[in-house]
Amino acid sequence: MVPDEDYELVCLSQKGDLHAFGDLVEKHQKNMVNIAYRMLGDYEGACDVVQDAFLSAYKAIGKFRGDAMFSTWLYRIVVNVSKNHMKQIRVRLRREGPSIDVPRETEEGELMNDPPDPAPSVAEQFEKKEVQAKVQSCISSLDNEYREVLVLRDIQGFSYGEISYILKIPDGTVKSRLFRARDVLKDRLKNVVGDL
Amino acid sequence: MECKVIQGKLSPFLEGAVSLEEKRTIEEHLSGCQDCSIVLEDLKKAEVLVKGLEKVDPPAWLKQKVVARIRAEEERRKSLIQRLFYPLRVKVPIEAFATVLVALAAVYVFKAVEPETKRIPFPSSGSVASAPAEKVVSKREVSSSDKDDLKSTPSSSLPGQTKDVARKQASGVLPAPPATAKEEVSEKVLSEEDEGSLTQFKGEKERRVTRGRRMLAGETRGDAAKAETSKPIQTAPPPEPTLEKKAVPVEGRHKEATEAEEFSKPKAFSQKLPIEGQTAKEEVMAPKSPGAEKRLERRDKGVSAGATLSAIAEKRAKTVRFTVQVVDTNMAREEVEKVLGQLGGQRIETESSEDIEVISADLRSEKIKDFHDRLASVGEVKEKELPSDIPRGDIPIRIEIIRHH
Repeated sequence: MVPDEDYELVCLSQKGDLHAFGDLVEKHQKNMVNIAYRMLGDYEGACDVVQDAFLSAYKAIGKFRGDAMFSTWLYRIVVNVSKNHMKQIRVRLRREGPSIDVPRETEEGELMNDPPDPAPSVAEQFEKKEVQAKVQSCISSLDNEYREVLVLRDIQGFSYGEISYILKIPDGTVKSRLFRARDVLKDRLKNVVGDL
Repeated sequence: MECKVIQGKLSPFLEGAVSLEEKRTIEEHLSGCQDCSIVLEDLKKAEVLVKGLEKVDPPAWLKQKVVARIRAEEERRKSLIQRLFYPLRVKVPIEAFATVLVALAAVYVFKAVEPETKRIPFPSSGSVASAPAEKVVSKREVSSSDKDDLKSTPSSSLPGQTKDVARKQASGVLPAPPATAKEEVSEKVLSEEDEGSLTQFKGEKERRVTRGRRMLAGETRGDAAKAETSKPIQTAPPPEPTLEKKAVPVEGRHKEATEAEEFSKPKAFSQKLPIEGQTAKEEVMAPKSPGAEKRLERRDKGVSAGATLSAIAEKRAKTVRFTVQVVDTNMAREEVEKVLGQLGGQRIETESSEDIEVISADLRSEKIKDFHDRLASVGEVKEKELPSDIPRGDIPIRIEIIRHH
């Protein structure tokens, strides 16, 4: 087993060292946000989910026994929190109907609906953004079980073993779901984007 | 292989997750099938698009906010613990005090409810046991003529009340109190009179006590067996020639007192008693029930039983009382006795004084209403309505006929 580079920080965090846990947050927050964002399709929601996931991780860090890499354990938490969040949204939408998406400002004055985009050219930025939005919408339209394997494998690049641990499903199931997810996504992308 | 099957295998084919044989088959098919080749290309492009999705950056404030939220959670948890358990030097005494208060309140509530729980319906055997409960009257109710009468008795060195009670008891008019009531009465009497002078009446009183106990069928704890074989009070011959058979002055308390005192000292039984007394002596000397033995012991020690008090209170509570104001108490008494007789009243007893006649009897519950109605023709009845909770069976009733001036 590959030694966990987070081992020391994890030990300190388990003893209540909040500073050490802060370091862990800083190290893994990007992956966490990206997983949550691709699962939810909503950046603002993803930031909330990641905060909750880190809070849950801190509360449960005493139970972490090192049966997997700390990061993998962390991603499992964020996937579960994301699923719960999506369930709540579905329930709320069923009750209230779709709500108008109003852009919200962060503490630093950034609009939270869309993630910050580093691309320089406005036109390219726009086109790229548009394509990516369409891709994201197709990913969001997939069934949960297809979406999560696709995000973890094709976007995050996790191994089948890691995905198996995160989703608590066998390797074979991960693969079969992934192949099926890619077939479905291909068809939907063709419908939305046009010629690929 | 069909195109549909091939197309279904293209994703694993791209992943390298097919067997060598399958891979050869697919490659052969693809070389000859344009549709499947297009599908394969689409799959590849889709994969490029997905993998080309840019990774987003987390907001700059995310780490700070996470740490702040964790700190807030920790503080909330700590303050809760502190509020509950800290500081110990303050919390522990306060909690100990609160525990003591709760325990005291529980004891108080239990004691307050205890008399109520003991109030169980006793069998309506038509005994005259209710009378003794009613006869625990204050000294003020004794008429002056009674006092004089008592004082004139040469053999008595007691204050008049005791002798009067003894006389009444001997005459059979006043039934003896239940054994359980005696301790309370003895305590009351002994606190008021010279204990030494009581001993002179031991013989007579003991016999009367025994007779009274006989009359209390099923109501005294130790005397149930005796009560079944007891003679009716009206038929008992008076032990003293000076005593009247009925209409003697009332002094319930002292009668009970003497009975209690005698009951507590069975060895002091006098030789002067007639044959009936001798029979009673055996009964007194050899109590047949554990309850009676216990009562003897307690009276020897001069301790009153809480059960006696509660029994008296219980009987008093169950007696239906009527107060009638009349001009002529004697005539009214005769009228009431007649009505009681007509309605099937049992154990009719009368106690007379100058301005008041007290009649006690047992009457069937269904006759009480009728009796109440007919009582109105005798005089002015104070109780306009009957109690609502009259149990079924023989009910002890008490009618006080007061002379209206």
